[in-house]
Amino acid sequence: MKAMRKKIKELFANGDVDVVLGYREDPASGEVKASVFKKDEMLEDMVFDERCVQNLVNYLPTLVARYSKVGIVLKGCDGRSLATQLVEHRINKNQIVALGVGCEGVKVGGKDADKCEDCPTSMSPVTDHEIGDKKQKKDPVFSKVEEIEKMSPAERWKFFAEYFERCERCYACRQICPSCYCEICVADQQEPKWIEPSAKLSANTMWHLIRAYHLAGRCADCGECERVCPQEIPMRLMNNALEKAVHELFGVRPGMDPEELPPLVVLSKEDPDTIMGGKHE
Amino acid sequence: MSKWHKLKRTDLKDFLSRLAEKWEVWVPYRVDGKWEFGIYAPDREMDFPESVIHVSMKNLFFPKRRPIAKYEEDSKWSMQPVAADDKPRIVMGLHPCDVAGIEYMDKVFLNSEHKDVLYESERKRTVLVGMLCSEMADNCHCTDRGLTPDSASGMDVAFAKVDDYYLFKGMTDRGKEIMQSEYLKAVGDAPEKRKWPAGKYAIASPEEFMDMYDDKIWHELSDICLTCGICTYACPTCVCFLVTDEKFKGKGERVTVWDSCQLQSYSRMAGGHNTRKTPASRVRNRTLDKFAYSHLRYGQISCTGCGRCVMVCPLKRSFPQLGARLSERIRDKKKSKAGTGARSKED
Repeated sequence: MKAMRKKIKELFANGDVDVVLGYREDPASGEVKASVFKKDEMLEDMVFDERCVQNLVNYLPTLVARYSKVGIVLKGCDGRSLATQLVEHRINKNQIVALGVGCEGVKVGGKDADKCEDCPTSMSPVTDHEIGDKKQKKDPVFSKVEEIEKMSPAERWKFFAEYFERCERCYACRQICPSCYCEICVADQQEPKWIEPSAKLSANTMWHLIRAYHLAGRCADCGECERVCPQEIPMRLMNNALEKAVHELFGVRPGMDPEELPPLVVLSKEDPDTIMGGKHE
Repeated sequence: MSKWHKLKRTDLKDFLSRLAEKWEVWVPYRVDGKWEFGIYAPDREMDFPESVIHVSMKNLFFPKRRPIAKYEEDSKWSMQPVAADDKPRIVMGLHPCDVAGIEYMDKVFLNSEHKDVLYESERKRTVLVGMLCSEMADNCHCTDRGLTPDSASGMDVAFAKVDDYYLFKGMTDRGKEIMQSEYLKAVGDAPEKRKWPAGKYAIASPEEFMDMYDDKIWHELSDICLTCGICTYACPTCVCFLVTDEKFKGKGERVTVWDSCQLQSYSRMAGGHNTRKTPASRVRNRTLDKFAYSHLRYGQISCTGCGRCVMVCPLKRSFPQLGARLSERIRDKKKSKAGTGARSKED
């Protein structure tokens, strides 16, 4: 923590950053929230520990529009998120100073977050400065997806329908997702109206399936959609199912390499699809 | 003046079952640790929460999705308005902030130029059996908004939880009908009046809020807001809706659906122009709507101090705190104005 504050002070002093995105502990409530730190401001309230769950990458596009240099505190998973944004040219790397912090895992609701179980990056894959240590990379586990895959289609539908029924369509999942950045979301289009705006099973199902599919090969599994959902819909399960498919077909885990294009936008002769001469059925 | 009546906690089920013979009785249930309102069923475990719960009563009067007209291909798509429901019903377990929310909705849907007939019928068929709070939850701040947690204002019947019994009192003629129950015994004592703490989130006047329209603070106040719509859905006085057609296999419905000014699509117009493109402008709209616009239109601010917006916020941002912070800024501005005699450039 000391090392991080020292580094940030140094960056401010050198004029390397205008603002730094980080986590602040509210002295009154003790809650940890995302915060934009300006020079000489509240740095003593800055924290980094297992309560710093939120992915801050989502705030970058607004901030780089207002400031020329933005520093950001990154956990490993947030770093993967940032990598997906860089490779999609949503953010210009020159405007970012990435402060990777060795992450020991985060807690959601007092328990270890599910996403930490198979975290491949304790340190962000994109860094300008690294603080703390890297840990051993973990291999992907898709145990929960495999459980669902064992169900019959009818059981699977029942499982998900119960959740979809509850969706309120507040779009917190979309709003917190760094990769959901369409100028006009498919759910908001009026003509043609792809997805009805009312919160009912059929329309909610459409929304959740389209949301998940649009993230195939792009989702870095930061798990924020699931965490912010007021109805506790297991959105990571859908994301992970697609992540698993992409991993099996292309051997790619999104966000691991800020240079590697998302597999679904690349046309390659090595693709397993039969159209490219591959053997996938 | 009518008296308080005692109902033994052990008689609650019988009392409700008797009411359910004539009325559709809505009571709170706890499902997986979360509260929801449902029609009373004797075999379902129910309880009354001590204080505010995360779901507002809005959905029972102004549902999330509400068909207003139907049409069919066979009848050449001619519109048939949806008939209003007139089955008498009791909604039990509302708290004073819920009732204040309903009174605000009345101003919007009933006492304005265009009356909402479906809302009117929901109101007419409903007897409000409100519960006086026995505690203030973490985010409660109704005392800052001119309410008290144990005020029976606006309720048809008021009741309070005391030890192992409930105390009921009929407040209106409609409410007195419910009081005609063999399970209720008249008693002399009223629930104890308490002194409630106030001053958590004091706010400035509507006029002062209006002066903040062009202030730069909105960017600061909205910097971490996701602009999702959940606070507006939970808010008992957020009443915006959109109208859309849902057609499927030769049948169609015209429905109203809750809309939210926090969503980008809310202010997108034909041709694609969006009047509130930035999160700051959307947060400003909601804040000013609660603390100023509502006052201009209906003569009262529309925050009832229930604190649900904080309860449901994915980031646990405090909307009332935001209002208070803004008010602080208003005071500071006034001070510096009085001191220097001129507005600072920054503002």
